[in-house]
Amino acid sequence: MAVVALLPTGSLEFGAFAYEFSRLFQPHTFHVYPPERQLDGFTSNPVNSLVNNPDGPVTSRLEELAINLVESIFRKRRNEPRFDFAFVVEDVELANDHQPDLVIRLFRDAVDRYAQQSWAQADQGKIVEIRERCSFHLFRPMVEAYFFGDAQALQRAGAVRSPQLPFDLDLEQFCTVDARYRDLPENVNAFITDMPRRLRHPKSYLHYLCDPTTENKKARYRETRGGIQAFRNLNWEQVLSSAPHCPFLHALLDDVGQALNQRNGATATTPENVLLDRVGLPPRLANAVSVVR
Amino acid sequence: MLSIETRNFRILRCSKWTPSGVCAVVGPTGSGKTTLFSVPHFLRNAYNRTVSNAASYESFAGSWGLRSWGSTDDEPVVIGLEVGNLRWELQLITRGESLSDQTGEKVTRGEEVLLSRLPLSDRFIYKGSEFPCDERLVLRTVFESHRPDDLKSLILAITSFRTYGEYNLRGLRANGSRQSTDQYLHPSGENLFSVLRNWRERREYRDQYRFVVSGLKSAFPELYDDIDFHSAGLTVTADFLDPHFKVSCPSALAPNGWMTGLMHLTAVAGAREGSLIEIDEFENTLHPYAIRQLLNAIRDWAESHDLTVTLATHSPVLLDEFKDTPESVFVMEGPDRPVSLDTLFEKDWLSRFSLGRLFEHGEFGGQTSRPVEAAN
Repeated sequence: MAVVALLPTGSLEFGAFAYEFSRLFQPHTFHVYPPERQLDGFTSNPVNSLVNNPDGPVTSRLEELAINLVESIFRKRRNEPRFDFAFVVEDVELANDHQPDLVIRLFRDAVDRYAQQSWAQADQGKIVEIRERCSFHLFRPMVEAYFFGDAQALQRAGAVRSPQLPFDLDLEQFCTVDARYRDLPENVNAFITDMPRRLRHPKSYLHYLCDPTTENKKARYRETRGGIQAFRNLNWEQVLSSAPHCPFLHALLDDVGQALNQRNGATATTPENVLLDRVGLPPRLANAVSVVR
Repeated sequence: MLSIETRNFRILRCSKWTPSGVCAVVGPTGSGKTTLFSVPHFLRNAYNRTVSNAASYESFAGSWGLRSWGSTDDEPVVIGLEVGNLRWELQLITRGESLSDQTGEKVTRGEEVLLSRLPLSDRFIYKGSEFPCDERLVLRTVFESHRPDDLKSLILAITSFRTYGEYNLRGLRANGSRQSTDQYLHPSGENLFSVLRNWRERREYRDQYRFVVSGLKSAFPELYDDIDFHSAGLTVTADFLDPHFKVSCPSALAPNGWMTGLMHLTAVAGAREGSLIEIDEFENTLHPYAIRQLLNAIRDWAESHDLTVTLATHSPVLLDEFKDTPESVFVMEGPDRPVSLDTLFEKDWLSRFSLGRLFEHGEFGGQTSRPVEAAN
C-alpha cells in the first residue's frame, strides 16, 4: 500500500484532496504536504517574467513549490512512513491559459536547478528518484471548472441556479453563454470578474450561480466550504465522460493510477493519454508537456 | 467607508488610512502601530466621556509627546474620522499633563459645516445658531439634544470602535468573569465567560456562539470539544471538555494560546455590524496553524457582517495569509504612514514571493533605516 503526498496550492484542494484521492484510489493513503500549510501557487500572473529565473531577495513561490516537491520524498522523520510518490497540482489560471507548457517548463526547470544545486553529479540516483516519484500537474483553468461536469457538485458548492453552458463543452476550455451573467455591470462585486475574462472564469461564474443577486455576501461561494463539499465525492466518471475532453485532469488521474499500478473507474476507458510521456522509464516530471492536439 | 486621519499627532505626522475588510498593520517597533490603534479608542472614549478623561487612559498617556517632533506650535494637532460623506475633526489642545476639554471641533458634510467650535471657545455653532458648551464634545451634545438623523452613521461608528490585545488571562483564570448581561467582550477579556454564556442562552446570539465554538475547534482541533459554564455567587467560570477522555478541565489549566484564540473570536463575534475592531499583536501565544485558522474564520465572519478588522502584527505567518490581498497590508513607513503594501511594490512582483519571507528579509517594515534614493 502506497503513501502519497499531494502538494496543492489552493485552500479548496488543501481541504479536500486527501479525502477524495484516498476514496478514488483505495486502499492507498494520501496526505497533503506540508500538513498544516498550503503552499503558494505561482500562476496568478503571467509567468513570462519568471523565464530566465530572475533574482529576487528571497526564494520565489515557484522555487518553494519545487523545493517542497523534491524534499517531500526525501524527508526523514522518525516513526513516520515516507512518501512513495508526490504530486504538485497547480491551477493554470486564465493568466496562463494560453501557455500551460511554459508553466510546466518553468516548474521542471526549477526542480532541475534545485536538484543540481543539492546533489553532486555523482548522485544521479537522487535525480532518478525525483523523476520516478515526483510529478507536476495542472488543473485548467482552475479546479472549479470540473464542478460544472457534475450538477450535484454545483449544488453542494451552493449554486441556486443552473449553469448555461455550450453544448459538448470541454470543461478545460471553460466558457458560459449565460447572458444575465455576461451583462452584469463592471465591478459589480469583488468576486465577479469583469469582461472580457468573465465568461471564461469558472469560479467567478460559480460565485454568480451561488448568489445571482451579487449582493448577498452570506450566500457567496466559499472555497473552504462549498468548494470542499463539491470536490469531495465528485462524480469523476461524469466529469470525464466526454473523451478526449479534460486532458489535464485525465493526465493527473492516469499518472496517479500508473504510479499505484491501479486504474480507477473514472479513467478506465480513456484513450492513451497524450500528455504522459511513455518513452522508456516514464519520466514523470515530463508529464503534462505540450498539449498535442 | 471609514477613514482615520491625523496631523502632527505623535509619530503620525500626516496620515490618512482607509482600512476595509480584514487588514494587517506591520512595521518596526516604535513605528506607531499602537499609536495608530489608539486613535479610534481615544475617539470613542472622548465621545463617551470627555477629552481629558480619554487622554488619561494608559494607552494614550496624556499630553506627553502629543505634538509630532519637527512640527511647529502653529501647526494644529488634529485627529479626524470620515464615515461616508461625514467628517469629524478634533483639534487637540494640551493642558498640563492632559488635554483640554475645550477642543476645537468640526463636523462637515462635503463643503457644508454642520457644527463647529473654535479651540478654547465656550460656544459652538449648530445649524447657524450658537449654543453654550459643556465638558462634553459638541458632537455628543448635539446628538443627545437634537437626535439628528444625518449624524447617526457617525455616532454609530464612533461608539462601536473596539480595541483589543491586552487580555487579562491571569485575572480571568484566577477569578472567572463577573455575572453580567454583557453581549460583547471588554478589552481586558475579563467578562469572557459571562458573554459566552449569555450568547449560548439567547437565541438571537446563537450564531455568535456557534461561530466561536466552530472557529476554536478548527484552530485547535484536538484540544477541547465543548464548554460548560458554572455560576458561583456573582462569578461565572468555565470548564472545557477534553475530546478524547471526555474529562472536564477547569479554565485555570487551559493553555494560553487556546484562551487567546477564544478571546479573539469572541471579540470579533461581539462587534456590531459595520463597525471597526482592532487587535494588537494578534499572533501572541498562537501556534502558526491556529493563526491561519483563526484568520480564516475571522475573515468569513467579517465579510458576512461588514466588519473592518485591523490586526497589528510582527508575524510572517499572518502576513503570508494576505498574499492575495497585499492592498490590505499597511506598512508603518515614511511620513504618510501607514501606506498599503501595493503602493510600495508592484503587485506583479509581490505575487512571486511569500509576504512573510519578504517581511523577514526586511523588504518592508524593517527595523533598520531603508536606503534613500540619491537625488539627480
